[in-house]
Amino acid sequence: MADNSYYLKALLSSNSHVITDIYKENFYKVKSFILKNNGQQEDAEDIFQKALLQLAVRYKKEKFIINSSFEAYLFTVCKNLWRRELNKSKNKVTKHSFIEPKDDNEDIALAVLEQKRWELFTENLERISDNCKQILKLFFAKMSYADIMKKFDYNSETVVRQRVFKCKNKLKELIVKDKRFSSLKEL
Amino acid sequence: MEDDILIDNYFKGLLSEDEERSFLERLSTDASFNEKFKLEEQMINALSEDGWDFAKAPSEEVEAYSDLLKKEELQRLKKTLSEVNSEFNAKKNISNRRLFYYLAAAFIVVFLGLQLFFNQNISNQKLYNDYIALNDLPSFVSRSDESNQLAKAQEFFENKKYEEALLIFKSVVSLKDVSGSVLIYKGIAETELGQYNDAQETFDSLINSNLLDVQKGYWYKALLYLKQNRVEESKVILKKIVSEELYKNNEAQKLLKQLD
Repeated sequence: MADNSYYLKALLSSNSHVITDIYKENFYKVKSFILKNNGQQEDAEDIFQKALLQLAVRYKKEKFIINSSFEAYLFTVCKNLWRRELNKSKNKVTKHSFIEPKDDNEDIALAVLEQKRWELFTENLERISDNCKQILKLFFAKMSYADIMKKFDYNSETVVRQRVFKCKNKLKELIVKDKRFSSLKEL
Repeated sequence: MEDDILIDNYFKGLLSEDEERSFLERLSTDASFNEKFKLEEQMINALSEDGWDFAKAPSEEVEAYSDLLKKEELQRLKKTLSEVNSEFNAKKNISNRRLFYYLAAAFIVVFLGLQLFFNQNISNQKLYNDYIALNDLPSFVSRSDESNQLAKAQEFFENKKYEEALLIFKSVVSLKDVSGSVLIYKGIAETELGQYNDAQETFDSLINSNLLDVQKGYWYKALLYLKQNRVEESKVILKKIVSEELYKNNEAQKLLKQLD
């Protein structure tokens, strides 16, 4: 695996050669994802730039380390940013409470912290038992207790419900203990 | 556990109006219940495929990132990104446009080629029709064959009923003493019906026979090739006709000029 900080440093020094390489290696995959999910070419261009800015500002502030490949990580950030955009319009309709950013900078800043909290949850989900992980993934994918019961051969929905609660509590325990949690919970 | 079920039911929209009112009231008064609820909400939003866990409160950290983004280093990056982006995506558009021109040019070439091919085709057919000179064919009518079959075949032929004509010519050809004229009629009928291989065989059998009409075999075979747009092969035979002064050598010479 290449040294991931190579790309992060290139972003901070505005190295247009390396940035062009990042585009060549990653843009089409991101674009095809966004086009497949109700987006346009301009959305893809916008999300891609915001993702790179997000990585740069985060690296500037805390020199974080990317544990996967740079490509995989960038793609995840883009996917999340697009999910975020889609939910923004949803939230406007349902009037859910969320902060209306003052400007683009604040929007990117909020996205950085939301991404960090997302990582806190997903990374801990990977740490619980396989059975719990599978059940919770189906639960979060909105599969009904009845269907989960059939899939795992449980005797009743009540058993599934108890299992889901137990697994969620396991996950929450890990999250609360995670040292990143205290700074992210009040967000 | 009971609180968990309550929160779960709230997210699933299963609470009655009254239950929901007291639920929300408890959220604002019971701090630990509130904390439990918030964690559940964040977790569900973050981990469900179609949701997103938005920040709901301002924080110092948001401020810190925001400030960094306003500073020169990241402002410069923003500018660079926008430049690279427009160059990268514009290049793609230009190369798309270039591709379009290439395709358009290729299309025109193919189109002209086809046009030429069809024109050539049309003129080959016209030349064939000009030179086949069906009126020049010998008549069977005056002759007396036993059943007057050939006269009948000729009548079919002249009325362009080539299939019927061919049936008779075929039966006559199978007889021993066949005339060259019958083979010529048969070959032309086959040509008209698009049975080019049969026609070629017929003319070849004439060419390879010891009949008086051997020379005519070359001429009609040349025309058969012309009909099939096998121009080069046709020319080879026509040149032979000219150089050996065979049947229709004047016409062959004229036709050669028209083909060049």
